[in-house]
Amino acid sequence: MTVIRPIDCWFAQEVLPHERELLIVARRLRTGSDEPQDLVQDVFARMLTTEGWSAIANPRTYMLQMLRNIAIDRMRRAKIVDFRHFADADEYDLPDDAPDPHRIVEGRQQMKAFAEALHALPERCRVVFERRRIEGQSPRQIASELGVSLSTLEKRLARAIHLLTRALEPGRAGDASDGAASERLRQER
Amino acid sequence: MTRQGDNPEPVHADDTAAAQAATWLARYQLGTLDEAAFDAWRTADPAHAVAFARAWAMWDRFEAQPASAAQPPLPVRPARRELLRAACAVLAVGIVAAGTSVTRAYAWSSATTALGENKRLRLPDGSMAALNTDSRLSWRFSDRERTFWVERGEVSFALRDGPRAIVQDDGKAIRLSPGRFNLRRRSEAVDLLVLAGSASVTDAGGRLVRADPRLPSLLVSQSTAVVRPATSEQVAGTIAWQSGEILFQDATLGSAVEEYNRFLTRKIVIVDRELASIPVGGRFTSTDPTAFLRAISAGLGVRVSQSNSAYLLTR
Repeated sequence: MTVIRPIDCWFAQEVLPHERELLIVARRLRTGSDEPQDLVQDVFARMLTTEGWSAIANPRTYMLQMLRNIAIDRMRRAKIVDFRHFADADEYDLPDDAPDPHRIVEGRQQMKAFAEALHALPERCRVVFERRRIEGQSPRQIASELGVSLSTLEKRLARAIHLLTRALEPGRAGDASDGAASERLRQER
Repeated sequence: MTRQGDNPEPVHADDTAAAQAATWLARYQLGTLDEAAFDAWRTADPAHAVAFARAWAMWDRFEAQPASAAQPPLPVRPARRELLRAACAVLAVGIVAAGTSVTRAYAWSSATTALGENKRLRLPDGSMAALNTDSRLSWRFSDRERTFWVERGEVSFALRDGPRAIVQDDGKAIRLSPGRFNLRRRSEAVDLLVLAGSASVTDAGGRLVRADPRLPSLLVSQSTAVVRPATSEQVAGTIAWQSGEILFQDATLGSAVEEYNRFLTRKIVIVDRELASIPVGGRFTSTDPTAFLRAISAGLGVRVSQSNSAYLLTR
């Protein structure tokens, strides 16, 4: 069994970076009580269970369309729109890929957020994360130098991973860069 | 009932999954992972797989882009990490190569409909496809070519501009321009109707046969390719299924029943053979044969009875 599968790498590199934009679109499409996060989560779950994932030429466009389809499907089930709305949704044209400078700025913002989150970690968790991830020390070495058990290491590292993963997730409280991405999307249309 | 706006900081239901994912990844990185238990957890719920991939993305990204310049250069890495990097590097190379060479990772995707089911889908290039009852469409896209295969049933396409589009069938390649098409798979042939754009195929003798809206009907089999005109009624009849209808004009009861049976799990059976040649016409809903059966019963004096598995038509 493989723990990190090719699809996980693909997800990290080609799918997840589009989350912020998907959230913005989801917010706009939303009609009922669904949270935008739920819609995006649904898209991600489908992407991770897609057999033909490696043949998806443009994951961003693909996901924006999928998001729209899921939203329409939910509207249909909620029975709160008539067919004219579907016609409107059909006209909803998807913007093309954004020019690179935007990506770079966003990337920088994210890395800044990440550095801040790393420094905001509880000291004990941050030490374990840095030793394992950055310095590449072996688990035994870390355990013996810190004088703790492997299971304690496990808890601290898990806590660090959890907090850092959350810090990288767009749409969380304190995430201030939504405005910029929203502006970008508006300009593209 | 909407709750939007009254909840400034949404509670994330996937927090539990995220916390569990973090624990699994920590164990993996510390060499204490029970892989079978992990696999059971990951496959139990797509949300688990997403949460784990998220955590992994954070872990992976951190090394890909160091967070700050103050970081010391990376010292010697343990073997496991090299392996991980190698796993992702292979994927990255695959993607880069795919962008520049003839083929991208070449996998077929497909969509299927059951009896009586209709489905519309948007393909990765933005084109639309609609599947009629009991149909199967497969497609495979690369940077240079979009390949389609209608394995069974009937599919309509609204094809966008893009790399050249080919319908593969039994060694034949039908080339489509951007446009709208209806394609029905028959036992020995493909029946293509061009509503907009054009379709062309090379026949067995090497002659190019081309169909467009003025001469819209293209029938392609292993041995021949024939292009024919079609009346607007014939065109309307062909695409009626897209609005959930069946349209019969100058049809016989036999062919109408055959057409209807494509949509029905409980089939219509003509018990008395001479009924099959009675001419019929009309517009009916494809999913429910009640109106159709009532019409032939009242209009043609045909008796309709039901068994568990069929509608029986008798004199």
